[in-house]
Amino acid sequence: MKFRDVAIKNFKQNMRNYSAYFLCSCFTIMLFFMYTTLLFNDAVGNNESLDALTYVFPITIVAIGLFSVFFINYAHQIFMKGRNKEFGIYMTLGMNQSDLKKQVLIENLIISVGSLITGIVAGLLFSRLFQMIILNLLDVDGIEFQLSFRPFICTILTYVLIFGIVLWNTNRKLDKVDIGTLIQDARKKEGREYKRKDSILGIIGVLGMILSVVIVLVLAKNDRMNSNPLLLGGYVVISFTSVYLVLAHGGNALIHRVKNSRGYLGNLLTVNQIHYKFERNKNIIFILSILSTMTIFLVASPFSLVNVTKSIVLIDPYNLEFTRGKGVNEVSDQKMNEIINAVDLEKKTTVPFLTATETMGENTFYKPVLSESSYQQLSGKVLELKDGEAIHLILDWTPGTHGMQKNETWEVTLGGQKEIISLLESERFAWYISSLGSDAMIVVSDEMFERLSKAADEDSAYTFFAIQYKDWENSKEMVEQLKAEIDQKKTASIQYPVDSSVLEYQDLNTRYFYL
Amino acid sequence: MSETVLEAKHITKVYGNAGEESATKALNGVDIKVEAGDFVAIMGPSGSGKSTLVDILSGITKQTSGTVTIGNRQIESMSPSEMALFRRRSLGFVFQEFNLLDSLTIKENIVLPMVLDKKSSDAMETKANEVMSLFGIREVGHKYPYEVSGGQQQRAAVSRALMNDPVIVFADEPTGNLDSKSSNAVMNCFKTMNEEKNTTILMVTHDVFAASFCKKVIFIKDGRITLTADKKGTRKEFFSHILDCQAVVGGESDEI
Repeated sequence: MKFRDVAIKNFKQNMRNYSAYFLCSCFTIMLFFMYTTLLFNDAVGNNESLDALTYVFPITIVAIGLFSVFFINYAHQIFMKGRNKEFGIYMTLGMNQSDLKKQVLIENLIISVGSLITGIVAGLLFSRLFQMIILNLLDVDGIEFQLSFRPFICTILTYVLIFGIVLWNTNRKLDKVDIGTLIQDARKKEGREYKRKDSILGIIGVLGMILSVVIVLVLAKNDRMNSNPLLLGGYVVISFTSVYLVLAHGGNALIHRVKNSRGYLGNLLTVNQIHYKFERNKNIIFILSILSTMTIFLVASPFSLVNVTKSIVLIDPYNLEFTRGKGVNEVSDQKMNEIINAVDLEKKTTVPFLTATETMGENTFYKPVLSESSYQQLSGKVLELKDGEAIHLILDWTPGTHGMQKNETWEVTLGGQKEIISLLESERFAWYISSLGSDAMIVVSDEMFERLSKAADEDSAYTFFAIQYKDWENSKEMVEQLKAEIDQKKTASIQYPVDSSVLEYQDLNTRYFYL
Repeated sequence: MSETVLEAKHITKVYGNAGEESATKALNGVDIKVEAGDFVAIMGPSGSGKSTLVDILSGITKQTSGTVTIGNRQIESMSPSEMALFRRRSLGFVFQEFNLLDSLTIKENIVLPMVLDKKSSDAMETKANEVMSLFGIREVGHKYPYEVSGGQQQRAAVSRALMNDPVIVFADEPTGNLDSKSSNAVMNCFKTMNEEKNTTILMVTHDVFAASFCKKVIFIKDGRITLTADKKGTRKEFFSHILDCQAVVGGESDEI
């Protein structure tokens, strides 16, 4: 008999311990491989409508990688902890630390290589299905499944590094191991005696789980809260900790209660069987619950991130907005129509506006003024303003009233024409508009707008174009052409930018990437 | 004059930081000498420091001060790898629990020290059969630990402790988990080991019956050696003598 035979027999005996560690590794490798296959698919990289994914996937892959370090390390530590008796016996019989390390290294090599092969093979089997599901969710057609050597290399290199880190950490711990501690640890009974704190911590765990469900519901409905990283981080900590508390303490407390109940003796065998199985498997249950959470999160995150980005962009019902005036975004009617009609139009709204100064006491603002009928055209809402009445609408996200409050009276001046307006309302517009050249706009009655228009010169009269497309995601080329035309006339304006859904979408995705 | 196998001088062990109020002095200047062929029991009430003493003497725990010499080698000056080799070739261990690997048969467990020492298969076979026959467990050699009785498991552990012909065997409560019949069988194994192989044995026990198999009993209380009893007369007489000594030293009657 050689030591190799002893190690093999131990390996077989400890299959349950090994299999948890092995399966955890396989699963994360499979997940990682599926994502890298999709990331390295050239058709995905070249598809403009999937731009978001080329930003989201690297983030997801880094997240899976980091999670794997934690997760594989945790599974490995549990696996090592279950072997104190074995190591203790070896050491009392004269095995030294370097022999122990050698044995652990060989076992780890077997598990690492085995799980890499199994994980990649499983990834290969499921990656086609995974790609179909993801692309179907994102409503993208025409992407062929492609397999290059890059996902293999990326997966292998990443996991060789991760297993290296885990092994380094284990070696560090084995350096500190001594027989005395191993003997004491091995003498400890599997499972713990019930303590009063188990009930308290178990109840805290259950409350934590309820709280995390409530937080999810609140976060899901509240856009401000669900973009707050502190709240999201807090939620993750609460949910994971409460699952741990329920499993580590709540389970113990529940079994203690059952064992002290009247019917216990009648169900003695069943209760003890459950208790025994629970004690042996609770670490694995904890790992699996986190793993399944992470899987759902990682599979759903690209989809939801893309959807969130889209929903943010589509708050604005128009896909192209720009202002044209003297020296501002000059482009001829013919050229403009030629360009913007290149993509199928759903709706085109053209409204005139004026830029006037609004004065109250020492406060003077320079704001765009629109008529009530233009407002109705733009927003679809009907306003009934009497002559002299106006509303103030904030066009950007910055908080505050932007200098004008409800029920105030202001003086509007334009080309020598002075009008007194009384603000009925000062509120936020339905979406943000940056191409009107100001943080807010004034809507006045049609009569007043008429009078102001007559007084306005060509420097203060503009036209605002707002266009809806049937397929806005394919409007990038058109937008770029329009910008190029404006640039050619050297009339591109920083104050009045050309605003488009397609570029905003791209910009948002880029920001996610940098975040 | 017989050769000294183990000599410990002024052994102290303090748990926690010495000088602080929370520090516990488990051993307080213990001197002990074990000659070749001795069969010594260390007895004492719970918390007296007997297990700590045997852990220090066997190199499992480090003492706060004092020296331990086994077979002319001072163990505290050895490097971890030297200590591992020394443990493999010169020491034998038998514990109350924590003895056999469930994945190996009784025979495989017994030959484990020789496996670690890379001995030949023939040598392992011969030696294993010899010790298993000596302790009456040859017929269960192919079985796994969970298939045999606690007494047989412990006899297997005693057999394993003998495999590399150690200078001294340390046993910590070897009968602690056993019924009286199995205890008797295990203690007879130790006796055979001592008488037929001339193996030196140092055993910690609180079982007077087990201690009566020894040639000498050292009583320890509050970290100090308080009394030593040498065997005179029959085992039954020695048993009574140990009981008397225990009454003098003071301990709990239900520990007997």
